[in-house]
Amino acid sequence: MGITLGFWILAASMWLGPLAAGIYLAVRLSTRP
Amino acid sequence: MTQALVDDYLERLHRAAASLPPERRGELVEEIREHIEAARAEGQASTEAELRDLLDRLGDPEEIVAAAREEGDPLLAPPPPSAPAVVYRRPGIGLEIAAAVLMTVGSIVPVIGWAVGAILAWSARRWTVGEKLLATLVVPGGPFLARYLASLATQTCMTSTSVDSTGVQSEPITQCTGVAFPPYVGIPLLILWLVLPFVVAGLLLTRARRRADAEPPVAVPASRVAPRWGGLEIAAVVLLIAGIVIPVVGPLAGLICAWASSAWTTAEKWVATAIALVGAVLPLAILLIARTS
Repeated sequence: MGITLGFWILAASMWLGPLAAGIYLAVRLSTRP
Repeated sequence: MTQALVDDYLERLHRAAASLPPERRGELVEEIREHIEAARAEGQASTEAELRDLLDRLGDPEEIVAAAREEGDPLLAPPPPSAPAVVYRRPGIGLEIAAAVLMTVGSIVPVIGWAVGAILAWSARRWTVGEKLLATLVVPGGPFLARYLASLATQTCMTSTSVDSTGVQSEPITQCTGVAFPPYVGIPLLILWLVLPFVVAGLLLTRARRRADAEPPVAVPASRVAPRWGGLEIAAVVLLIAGIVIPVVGPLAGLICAWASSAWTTAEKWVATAIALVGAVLPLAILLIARTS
C-alpha cells in the first residue's frame, strides 16, 4: 500500500515540471504582442 | 448664378470620383470646395467670368480624380495586378526533425520507428554522409532497443549443493544460463545507449538548423503562413501538459517539439526546459532524501 501510494505521489509530482513548462510556453505564446 | 456654377462643378467631381473609396471621395470633393471658397473669399472669383476661369484652371473633374490617383495616394492607387503577397521565411528543417525524433523517441516502436527515422535521415540533404553514419551507428535501433535487449540479456543462476552417500555436503555449485555483462560494464553501457542517440540527434539538428539558416529565405504565399499556433506549437504544449500519459517520453517529445519550433525564443525554450527538468527531478530528490533520513 505504502509503495503504491509513494509511487503515485512520485509520478504525480514528476508531472509538475513538464506541466509547468507547458503552461509557461502556452502563456508566452498566447500573450505575445 | 455663380453658386450654381460651383455646385454643378462639384456635382460633376462627385460623379467622376464614384470609383474612389467613399471616404476619399468625400474628402476630395471637400478639398476642391474649400479651394474654390477660399479663392472667392479672397475676391479672385467675384464675377462669373473669373469663376469660370478658376474652374478651368482647376481642370476637368475627371482629370482631378486621375491626377489624385497618379499622385500615389495609397487610398487611390488601384490594387496591384494579381501580385500575390509573399512572406519570406527561413527554410524549415521538418525532414531532419522528423528523422531525429523517430530515431530517438520513435524507437519505442521496435525496429520500425527507428528504421523509418534512418531512411528519412539518409534522404535529408542538410547532413553529410559522415553525420548520417554517426546517426545510424549511434546507436542502431535507437535508445529504446536497449530496453528490449536488456530484457533479453538476462542471466539466470542456480546454486546447488549435493550430499554424497557418506552424508557429506559438497561445495555449492553455481550454474548460470544466458548472458550478462558485469554490472560495472552493463550499467554504463545501458546509460550510454540510452543517452547518446539523444546527444547525437541534438548535435545534428543544431547543424541542420545552422545550414538551413545560411540558405536564402523561402518565399511563402501570405495566405499559407501558419498562424502563431501551428501544429508544432500545439504538439509541444499538449505533450508537455498531458505527456505524462507516456512517462518520460511524452514530456521529452514535447520539449523536442518546443525546440524545433521557431515560435519561441531560445531563452524561452531554455526556461521551459529548466522548469520541466527541475520540476521533474526535484520531487524525486526530495523523496530520496526523505527515505534515507
